[in-house]
Amino acid sequence: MRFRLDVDGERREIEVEPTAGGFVIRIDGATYRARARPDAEFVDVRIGAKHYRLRIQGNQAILGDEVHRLRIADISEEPGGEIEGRPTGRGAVVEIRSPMPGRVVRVAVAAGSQVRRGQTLVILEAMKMQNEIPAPGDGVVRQVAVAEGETITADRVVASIELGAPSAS
Amino acid sequence: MDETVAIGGPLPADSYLNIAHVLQAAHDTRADAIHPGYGFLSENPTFATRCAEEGLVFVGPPPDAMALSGDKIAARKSMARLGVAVTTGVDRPLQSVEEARVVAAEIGYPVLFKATAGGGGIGMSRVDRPAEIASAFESARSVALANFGNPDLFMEKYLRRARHVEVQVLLDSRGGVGFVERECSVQRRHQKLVEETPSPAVGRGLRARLIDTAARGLRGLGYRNAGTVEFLLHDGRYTFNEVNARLQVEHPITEMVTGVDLVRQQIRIAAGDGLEVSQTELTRHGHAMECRVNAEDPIRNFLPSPGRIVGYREPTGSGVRIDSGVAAGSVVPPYYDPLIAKLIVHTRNRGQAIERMRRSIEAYEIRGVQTNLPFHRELLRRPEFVRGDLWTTMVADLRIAARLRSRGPWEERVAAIAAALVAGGRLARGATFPLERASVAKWALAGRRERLAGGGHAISPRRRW
Repeated sequence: MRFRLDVDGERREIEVEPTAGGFVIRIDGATYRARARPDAEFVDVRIGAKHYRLRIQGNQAILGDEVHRLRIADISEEPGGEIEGRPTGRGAVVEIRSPMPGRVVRVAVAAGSQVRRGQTLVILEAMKMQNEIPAPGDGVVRQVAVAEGETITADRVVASIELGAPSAS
Repeated sequence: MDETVAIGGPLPADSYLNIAHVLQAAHDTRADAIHPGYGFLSENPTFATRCAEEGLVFVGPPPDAMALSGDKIAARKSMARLGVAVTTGVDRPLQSVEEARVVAAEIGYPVLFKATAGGGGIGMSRVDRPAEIASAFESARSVALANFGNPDLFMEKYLRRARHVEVQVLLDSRGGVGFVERECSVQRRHQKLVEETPSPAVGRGLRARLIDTAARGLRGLGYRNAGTVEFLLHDGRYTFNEVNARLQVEHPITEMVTGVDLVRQQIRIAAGDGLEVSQTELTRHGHAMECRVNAEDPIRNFLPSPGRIVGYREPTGSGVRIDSGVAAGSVVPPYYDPLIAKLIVHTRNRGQAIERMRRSIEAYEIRGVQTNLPFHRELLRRPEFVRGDLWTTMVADLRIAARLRSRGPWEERVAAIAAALVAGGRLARGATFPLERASVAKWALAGRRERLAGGGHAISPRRRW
């Protein structure tokens, strides 16, 4: 199960996978193994050696002497794939989005380019570091949506790719 | 009185790197001096010269000395003339891949390409095998051109398992002081992450030689004001690496152990008032350590993490100093370096410094952007670090970031909340109510209770409002 959880104004993408006797919780690449036991009033959660006794009340989570404001959105039952929310398989068109805001310093492909998985599509400079945005799979670039020198926001579509093995030619 | 002036748009070229804008701001506020900080124009001799032309005091070294130390080949030659051991390498720009290949064969792999006009760890490229040299040469040249406007490269022998040790120097017109060394071996991609003083690898004799070499070397360049000479420590020997012609990010640790305010001394030197401390008066106490807190996510390969800080609480206590530029509500912009704070501790000895640092990291709360605090937490647990066995590629060699699974106590709380929501059935299929709705209509609540209680479907599970 996946959902977006906002705790005290900080938003996280959460993935929860039930396992024998507990859950694996993934938050943006970090992994936590939890056991949880709900009763009428509280939920007892154990992560590693730590024990949390929580009460969920409306849009609040009460944990020890702290009250956290919660917001939940985009609940989905599908387990996460490698590329978020993409249709997969040959012929599917996927949009590649920027993982952070930054300035496009290089566009390495053009519409019609054949690309391989992992090949750099765009180089985005943020915080004085150049970050390569790679192709999520083999395919053909349908569209490049950014230009060199442009400053873009996070989650902007930078390119779209039609998946499928590139032809040998 | 403090005043702030907008000096242009958010891109560095429009503001902090824009000489005309910075000078205009100085005139508008009737400033008589400019302290350039670190980064941006702080090592730019043209800027220092322009300040002088406009009648402003530049708080830093004379432009000539800055130009000399900024040219890495000239600095190497100058140090070698003074009898300072320099890392094996060539003292000329390499004109072609063929020349690079010949030189690399002479000095032996691995080798390091360095930008002649480089600095700050940018434009360096390690080459392990002859087969890699052509592509490394081309890419290092393009990086050098893009960052420093000059593609020239030279080459040094790459030293495995070397330590990075540096000496802070202050020089005025009469004399100067050299400070106890800082060890800055904990780096990632040539960027320092943790610094400490004194170095666990330097004893009294070596310390005296390092300080003497650094002070003599800078004087030989005609230097004034604050500067740092960086050395590589390898097999018990030290060789000159480069000069940083400015105050450095890690200067607080030197201030903590000596009690000397380096920025105050810089301003005094620039004003012609001279140093307030001499080499013989200089004392030092205890051990200081600094962790650079960067807005980068160590779990996702240090992906930059700009954004809004929604929660911020600094650790406090004796011997803890935080130099930061953020607070709750601050926006960390994507345009600059990811450094948002420096966490500095000062205690009696190294063991206590590590312990104090660990506790300070646990108490440091930064929410809204990801930071490298989990990386520091993991590093401080490593036996190599605890022993003081440090080398410049230890972060990569020990795969410290790759071992990280958790972002620490705050995120674990979030995980616990998520587990409680799922286990408590709050997210079960059909329960699509948004919890943020503070005032939920009574009929909807009734329906929700019914559903949660396992009752009939008062509302279609797909319905949202």
